[in-house]
Amino acid sequence: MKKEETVKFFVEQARNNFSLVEENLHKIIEEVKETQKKELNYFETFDEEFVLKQLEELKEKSKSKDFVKGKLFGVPVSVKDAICVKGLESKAGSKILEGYVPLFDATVIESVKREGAIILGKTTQDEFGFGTFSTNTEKIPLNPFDNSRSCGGSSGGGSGFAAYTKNYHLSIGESTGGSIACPASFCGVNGFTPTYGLVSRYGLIDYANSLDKIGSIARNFEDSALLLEVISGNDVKDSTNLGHKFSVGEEPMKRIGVIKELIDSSDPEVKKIIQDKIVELKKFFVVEEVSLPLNFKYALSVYYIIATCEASTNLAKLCGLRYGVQGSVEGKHFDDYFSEIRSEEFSAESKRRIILGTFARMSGYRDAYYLKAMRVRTKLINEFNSAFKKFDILISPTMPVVSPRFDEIEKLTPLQNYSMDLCTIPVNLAGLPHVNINAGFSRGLPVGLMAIAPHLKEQRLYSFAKVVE
Amino acid sequence: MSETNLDKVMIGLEIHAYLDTKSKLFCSCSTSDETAEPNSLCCNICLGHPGSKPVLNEKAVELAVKIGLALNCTINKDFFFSRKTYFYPDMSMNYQITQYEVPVAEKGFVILSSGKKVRIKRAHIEWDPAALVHPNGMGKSQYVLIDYNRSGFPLVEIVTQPDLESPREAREFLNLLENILGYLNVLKPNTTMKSDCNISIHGGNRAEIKNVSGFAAAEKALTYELARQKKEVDSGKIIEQHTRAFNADTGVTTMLRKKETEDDYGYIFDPDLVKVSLEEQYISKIKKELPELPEAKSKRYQVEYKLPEFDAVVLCGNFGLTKLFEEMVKQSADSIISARLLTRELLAVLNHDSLQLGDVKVSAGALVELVDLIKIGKVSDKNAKQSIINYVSGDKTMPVGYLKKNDLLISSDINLEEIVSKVVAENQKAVADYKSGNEKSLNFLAGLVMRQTKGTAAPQKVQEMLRQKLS
Amino acid sequence: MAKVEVTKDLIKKVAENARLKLTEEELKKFVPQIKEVIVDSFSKLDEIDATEEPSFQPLPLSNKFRKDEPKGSVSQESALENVSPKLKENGYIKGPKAL
Repeated sequence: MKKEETVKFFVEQARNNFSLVEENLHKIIEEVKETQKKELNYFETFDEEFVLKQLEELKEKSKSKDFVKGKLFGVPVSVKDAICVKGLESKAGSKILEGYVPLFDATVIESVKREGAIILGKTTQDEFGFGTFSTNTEKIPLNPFDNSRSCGGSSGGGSGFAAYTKNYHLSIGESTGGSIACPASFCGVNGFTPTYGLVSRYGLIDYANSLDKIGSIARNFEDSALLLEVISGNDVKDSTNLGHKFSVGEEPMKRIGVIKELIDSSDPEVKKIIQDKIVELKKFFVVEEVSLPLNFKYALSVYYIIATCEASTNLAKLCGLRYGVQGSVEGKHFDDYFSEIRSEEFSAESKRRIILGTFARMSGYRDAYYLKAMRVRTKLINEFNSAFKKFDILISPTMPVVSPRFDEIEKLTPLQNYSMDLCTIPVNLAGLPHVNINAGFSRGLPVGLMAIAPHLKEQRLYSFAKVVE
Repeated sequence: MSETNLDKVMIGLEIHAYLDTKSKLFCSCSTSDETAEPNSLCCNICLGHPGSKPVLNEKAVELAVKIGLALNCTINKDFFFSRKTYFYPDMSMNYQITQYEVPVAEKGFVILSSGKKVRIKRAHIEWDPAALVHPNGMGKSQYVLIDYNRSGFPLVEIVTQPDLESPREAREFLNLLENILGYLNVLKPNTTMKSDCNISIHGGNRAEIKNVSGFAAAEKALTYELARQKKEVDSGKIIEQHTRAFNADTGVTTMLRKKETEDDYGYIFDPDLVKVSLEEQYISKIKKELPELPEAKSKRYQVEYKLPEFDAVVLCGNFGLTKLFEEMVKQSADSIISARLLTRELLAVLNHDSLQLGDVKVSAGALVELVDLIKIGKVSDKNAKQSIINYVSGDKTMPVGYLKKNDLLISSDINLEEIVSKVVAENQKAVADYKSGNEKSLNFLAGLVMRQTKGTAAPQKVQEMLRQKLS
Repeated sequence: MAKVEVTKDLIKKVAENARLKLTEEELKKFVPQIKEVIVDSFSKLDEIDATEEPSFQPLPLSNKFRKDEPKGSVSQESALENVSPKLKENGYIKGPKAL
């Protein structure tokens, strides 16, 4: 990766030459329109006027000598649909929230705007984040490497466009069970998921509140690290916010643990690429195998119990009142009114997850499932912490496969679908920071390597990426 | 079944009251009670907008801890919030943020004046749903109108064990609870406490009467339900556990729903909120700063103001009366006379007319004037009582004004001191009789004094003055 | 913990609790799918003992408070902005009845 390819470089130049901002933005607008014409479906909402207005405002502000040109000055930023942007429809990829226009910006949006960014539009995703392939939505994004294949999910649109664009651009994504790393892997871009609580969730339409993390997707690690620096930090409006800030910087690291079970579970073509990478890594680091048997066995179950329990309560508010799809209430009992709208508007996957989550917390079952899962979660986090006593970071393939074709995906049962996340789920359940770095190509399709650090040790990942990318 | 079991009435109460905070429980919207336009005191949090996140009001925690301590509860140093999921048109999120497994306070008790101990199971914090308006009356409306101004208000829920054994006792408990909470100054002014009243008989299943507003209503509802259950059981029927509603106008409880058709609440720990961990110092500080509670205050009054026990206990059993008393004493009114006036005369009038102190306008200053006159013997007890009755339920003239108007004060021409001295001087035989132990002689002398004052003097005062003169 | 019987009736009951009216076709499709998840995945937890404290969040978090200061309410107009015109009446939001 060359210095000139970074957003940081672009911003440095743009601060002294606004025409660079205009040029870049106009080119990217053309690209967006191109993707719409080709029906690549990276954007759920794109409003050219909305974008150009921001350009004009930025231009005006820049004329003043006192105006500080921020870290993201003039940079177009695409935003996953679940993250609220004031004035733009925010549906989290769903039907039921059609027409919902938030009254407020998410904190991350305020942060990037403050640094001079231009919000480009809302990117496509699985409904509410429910999915691994961004197929659980009306506008399905197509993999830029092979349009018959998935972008991955649920931050599919953002990753797809990050790979597609030849211009300076950043994308704000979100991960619950791997929704940044997975699409980043399938699209060959960098996806950086921070420690849970590092980035404010205020303004994020919830999937599962103890698992959701907003993070960055970009062409290279410098870019995604820069974006993470801007969006991380203290927020009093989010009770689960840690109050920490990530600053781009290095932390020396030496010992790498390769998660045995995850490599062994991957397709041979993925395994090969990763193993070749490991050979290279051994030149710079001490690389050994590590086993995480409990995570391998139970993380998936624990994750889906917790995620669906939380999601089923989050989605209870969507009932045709106050925003989104609304009907006629005259003469209807609320049970009927709510049921009709919810049954009509929720996708099959949403319904399944609501049912699973409602079941797992019902009296008679909640001890064995919900509460048990919370306890096992502690066990699994402890297993990671033990591993980190011996290793500075851990690595594994990001996904066990390369991007599958849509017709292959259709044949999967829901459980088989869920099992695709076997690499990303454990780290997401534990709230550990992780990054997807492209490790190579197989049959022309990207294969991603995932690096994992202990809580709040994002700088180790930066150091690692600097060597590897 | 044993005989005691057959007769056993078990009543448990769940009381909801609004905490006195300036902003809502999980958002900063104002809780001001000034009449506002509907949906004008809301934000994305209490409207349940996707993307919004709750943040806990620290004042609500403080007030809840205060309440827990005053009810002799154990305060849980670590506690959590839970989501109680059920669907209803007044819910902003179709889940209520409440406390399930680990509430702020639990395992407390209060003691009724009869000495009966009523155990407090728990006290916890939760938020209120929105307000519903039924445009054409509850039965006929085709839809509801929702106002989210109230959505998110902080509530304390206090739950008793089923230790209460009669509707009367339940009412007594509620009065006591209101008194304690009044002392603590933790509840939002101008709001009513609502109770869910649970009652079972003969060790059978309980009926829950939901959302009963006020204490008289609670007693009425329980009385009706007790009679209804007794009738059912007598005719051989079995009571199933179920929920009822109480109609305050008709005094009747009606079935709302059976237990089976209730929503399963599917409680989870609210993942948007974090554990609250209280330091020992925080709790001790609140404990130290607790205002003097009724029992302690009553004991102090007996010592400091030399009030008779009965007067002290009755006085302290009514927070409003206590406030009046303290105000009067601050204005230098005689404490013993003030206490007697409040607990015997004022309270008697209120009870007679089924009024609460809050229903009438009684000024401490007006009562102080009266007390001063009583003290110097310018008004008889009978007339003082009459002036109070008139003040509360008559034409509401202030007591001293009333007495003056109706010429019920001992004439200011009359110098009681002089009369007493004169009577003593003129009746030396009676004086001598009294001094050698004959009480009746004192009454004779008092009678003479009374005649001279045309009956307007206060008999007690006269006795007092005579005793003093003759000692 | 006894093994759970995942039947059509159970799923229907759970769906109703969540205010979802499933068609016969949906039920037919969902029952085996949901059963598979519950039996083959969720129930794996039956094999393992866990006496650890539950982790409601992945990191230990506590004591996030807000000062009791009123501010930040939106105007009635904003509060109603997302409400469909048919469901607005005199500043109230129209909703379905309860009785």
